[in-house]
Amino acid sequence: MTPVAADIKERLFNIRELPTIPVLHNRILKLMDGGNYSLDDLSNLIERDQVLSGKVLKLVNSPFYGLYSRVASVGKAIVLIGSNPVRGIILSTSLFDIADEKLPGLWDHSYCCSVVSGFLANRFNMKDIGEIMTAALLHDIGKVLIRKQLPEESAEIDKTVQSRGISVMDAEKMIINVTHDAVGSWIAGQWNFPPIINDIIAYHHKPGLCGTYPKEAAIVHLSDIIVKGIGVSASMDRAVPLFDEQGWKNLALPEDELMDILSEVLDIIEAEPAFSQYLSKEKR
Amino acid sequence: MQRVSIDEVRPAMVLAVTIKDNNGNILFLKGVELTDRHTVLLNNRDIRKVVVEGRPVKREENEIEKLHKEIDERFVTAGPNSIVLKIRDIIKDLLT
Repeated sequence: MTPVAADIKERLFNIRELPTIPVLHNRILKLMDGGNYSLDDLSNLIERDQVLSGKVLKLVNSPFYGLYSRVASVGKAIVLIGSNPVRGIILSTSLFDIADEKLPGLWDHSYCCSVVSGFLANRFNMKDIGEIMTAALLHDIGKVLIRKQLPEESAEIDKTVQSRGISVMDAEKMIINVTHDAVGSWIAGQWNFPPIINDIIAYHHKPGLCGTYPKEAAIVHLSDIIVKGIGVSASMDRAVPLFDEQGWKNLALPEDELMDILSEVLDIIEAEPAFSQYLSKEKR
Repeated sequence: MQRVSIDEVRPAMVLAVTIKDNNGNILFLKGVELTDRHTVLLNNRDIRKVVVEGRPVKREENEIEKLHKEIDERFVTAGPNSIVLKIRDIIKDLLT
């Protein structure tokens, strides 16, 4: 692989141009980092931001949590889902506002991956379910940064995906010689994400190579494949990623359980109204 | 196998996938032959779709073909591994 061209590197990793986290979001993150906060403090701050509150409530009411009655209070939602997914929502909101414009559907895809990763993490009895869901929400954050910092090259990437029928990842390699998993891991480092989240972002296409969190990365990799396979993806980014054999082996999932798992995943996806537009073509 | 809605369930259809409720408790095991009594219970539990053996409900052939082609195209980039091809084929069955 030829090295990344100096000017691309400079524009992509220009810290001054990095999207900033809004002041209110920063205050919430700092409060959570301190560890010593009351639920009221946290929910009061979150409630000041409608978009944020909306996303927290949407997640807690998603079919993954399988609650019988709708939750309408942010405070109750935090008790039910824990603070880690809340952190993921805050971090992704800052970047995904840009993404919605430049890569329509990426937020829905990421949110769907997060819900499916939560289901799989539960199935595999993982202990860090919240972190895995957060990482799934953020797994494509590198794509957002590439689109923001390199608009001309991004147009070229989209054109190449269309004309050659290849994945965004392969087109990134061809056009800018750096891929969104590496870019995402870089921004995760800049924003001091915990190592588990950074590693899952870095290895979501090659979980078999992940040293510390191979199973966690494999769960997000498998979710990405399933969710894209079902069709919940950005319009310019429909191709299912290359399957990682070693990552699959690390999951040690008996092949004959695939049907039950996929059928349950489809029930979960269909129960969420936000995803119906992606399934409408499939509806008879 | 075929994923059918509860209104499409007819007696003698056989469950291909175990049905669980929202809390993960098993309601009916795969292999069970469905009767009207099952349908009532599933409706009460707000279960909307089930997976049954074979392809007992007739669907529009053109639509199936179109959708299968679309899913095949999505998976071209996923590589030739037999597991991912199995995932593709199950998705094709479940969505049509």
